[in-house]
Amino acid sequence: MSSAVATHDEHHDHGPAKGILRWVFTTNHKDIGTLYMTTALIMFLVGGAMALVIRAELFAPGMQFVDPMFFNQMTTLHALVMVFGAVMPAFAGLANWMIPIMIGAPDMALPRMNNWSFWLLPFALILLASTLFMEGGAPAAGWTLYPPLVLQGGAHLPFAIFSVHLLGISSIMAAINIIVTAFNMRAPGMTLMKMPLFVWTWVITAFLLIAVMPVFAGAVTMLLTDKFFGTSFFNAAGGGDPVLYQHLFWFFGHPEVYIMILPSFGVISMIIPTFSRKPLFGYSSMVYATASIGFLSFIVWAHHQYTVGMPLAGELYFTYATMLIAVPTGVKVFNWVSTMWKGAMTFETPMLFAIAFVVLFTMGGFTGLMMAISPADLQYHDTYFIVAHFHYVLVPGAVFALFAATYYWLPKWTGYMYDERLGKLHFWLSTISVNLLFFPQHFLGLAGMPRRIPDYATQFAEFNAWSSVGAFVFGFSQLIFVYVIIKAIRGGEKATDEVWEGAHEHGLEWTLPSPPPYHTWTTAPEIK
Amino acid sequence: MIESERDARPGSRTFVLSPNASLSGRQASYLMLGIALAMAIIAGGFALMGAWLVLPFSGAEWILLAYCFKLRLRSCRIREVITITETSVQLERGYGAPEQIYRFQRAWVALDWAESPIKGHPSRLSFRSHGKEIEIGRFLAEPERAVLASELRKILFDSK
Repeated sequence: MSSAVATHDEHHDHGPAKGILRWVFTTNHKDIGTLYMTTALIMFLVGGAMALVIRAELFAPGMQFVDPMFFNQMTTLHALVMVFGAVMPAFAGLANWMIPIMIGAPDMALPRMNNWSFWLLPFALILLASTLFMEGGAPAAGWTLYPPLVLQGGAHLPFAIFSVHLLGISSIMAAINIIVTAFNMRAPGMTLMKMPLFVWTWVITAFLLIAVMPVFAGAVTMLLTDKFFGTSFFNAAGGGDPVLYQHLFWFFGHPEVYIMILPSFGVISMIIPTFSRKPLFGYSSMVYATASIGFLSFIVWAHHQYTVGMPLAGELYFTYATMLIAVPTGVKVFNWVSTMWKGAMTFETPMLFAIAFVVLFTMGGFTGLMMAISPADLQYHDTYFIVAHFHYVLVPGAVFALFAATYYWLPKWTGYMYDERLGKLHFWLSTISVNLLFFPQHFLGLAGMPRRIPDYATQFAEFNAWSSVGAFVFGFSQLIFVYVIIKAIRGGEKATDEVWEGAHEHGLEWTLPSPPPYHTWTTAPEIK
Repeated sequence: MIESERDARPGSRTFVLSPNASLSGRQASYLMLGIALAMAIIAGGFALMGAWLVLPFSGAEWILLAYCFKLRLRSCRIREVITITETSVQLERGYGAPEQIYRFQRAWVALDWAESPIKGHPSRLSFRSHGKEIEIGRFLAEPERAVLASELRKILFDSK
């Protein structure tokens, strides 16, 4: 008889290891989620500081603080840091923390790969930041890295591209982990159409990442070979086509916007029902709307390229296809409003941010519709109107959703309630200042102020001054957010398991203790 | 999941225990095929436009995704077969084929079920005999383990 004796302590609760190595070697989904979100918060402040350099220079006409080259480096790095260093990792952190808990899984499907996909991130970001100190400075061709401009830069190019590759690998591994976890590790009884919407939106986001990242990786690799190995993918003199790069970039870049916004939709779809004390209106239509948005995001990329020249049929197609996205987006907005309709609403900080998201993101969506019209886009193209549009989508859109998510789940994560008074102060300061920051930029754009310039005509002075004041108030308001998080981690009023009244009806996470044990769902819950 | 088969002989029974898996191997194959098709259309289209360097990246990514699914599906293939006869209790455990076999004399075997003191943590069900203890159904959901414990108790002790 062969025999092996299982020792009894196999089932004891192995808490986290002690010391710094806990964080280096951890494979626990909650630890990795915390690492992602902490990194994202630091990079949000770094990227925000870069934005403040830009807004300080633009406070008044003339050259004040930085030279034009450094100004362009700041615009490029601000974008890359915010997209790849702040928003995407923050959502990956949320996914790591919440998806296993929400579907009743003990951890992510591939915990060691999860650790690796996080640890690539800080090194890639340090590599990207290090280009600031290289000969010729950081990339200054905008986040699109368009050739031939980007190929004329200094020593930064291979470092910046290697960094982008590492960031891409990190995102791909996170996406794969999420897909495998959501498809294969759901608790018994949790069918796909019973998955919480946050999980659904992340699954669709993960498919978008899987589809577009190789295209971006290929594009930037071709930049490298054009620069160092004499190929001519994008070099017209050698028979290549710079517009091909634009197709490749925007085939990645347009879905990338949805990669940053679909998880926000998921977050908002969790928060609004809780504080309306009603189930989400039209769950299945929300799932189908999210999938439709995901699909449509692939077939509209050339609306970023109207001005490079396109056949009329192409312009018509991309105009109509882009406008079509408003339909499923409208479904989502109307469903959120219908959920709130006649609900017993209360206005805690997460709900305030969620409502601000719905209103302000819708405004960003409407300006997107304006730009979808190809003849009109010729006027808006490369003006501050574009800057205003995508910042309305990404700041009161994605970033506000992240604030809402943090306030919503912070008591669950830490076991302590956050300071509601400071949370509301953070909300009001952020909401007022973000509008002061970005709303005037619509007028600047319509009046013809181009983007990516450090100096401008005096007619734009007043709106720019308002915008810069808004930027500084918004920037410094985030220190309140940081303080609220630190305060909640250090202690305070004890959070109950349910945290929010009636929340247990809206997700498995509210049936666990606050904070949840280090190992959750070591045995799967049954979903009725 | 617990599948149970009653033997013709009295007091005999076979249980096949398997973990919960929300995706079958066949579904995973369809999913991977669908993803491959979508990626081939995208990468192939760009290759035709001259950007052939997208192809190796797409291929590498698909292989990684398929490998990850394979790893995960393998861990779902674990099975435990408990065969109870008049004289013995046998536990076979393995992926696809029995890799570990434990055999006890039925008269001496005891069944232990210990609830975890920690909320949300699994209970522990095990066979014990002559100072040796083998855990069973570790991958089962809590209600399934409770059903298994009750069934085993009925067969092993109530029928004596």
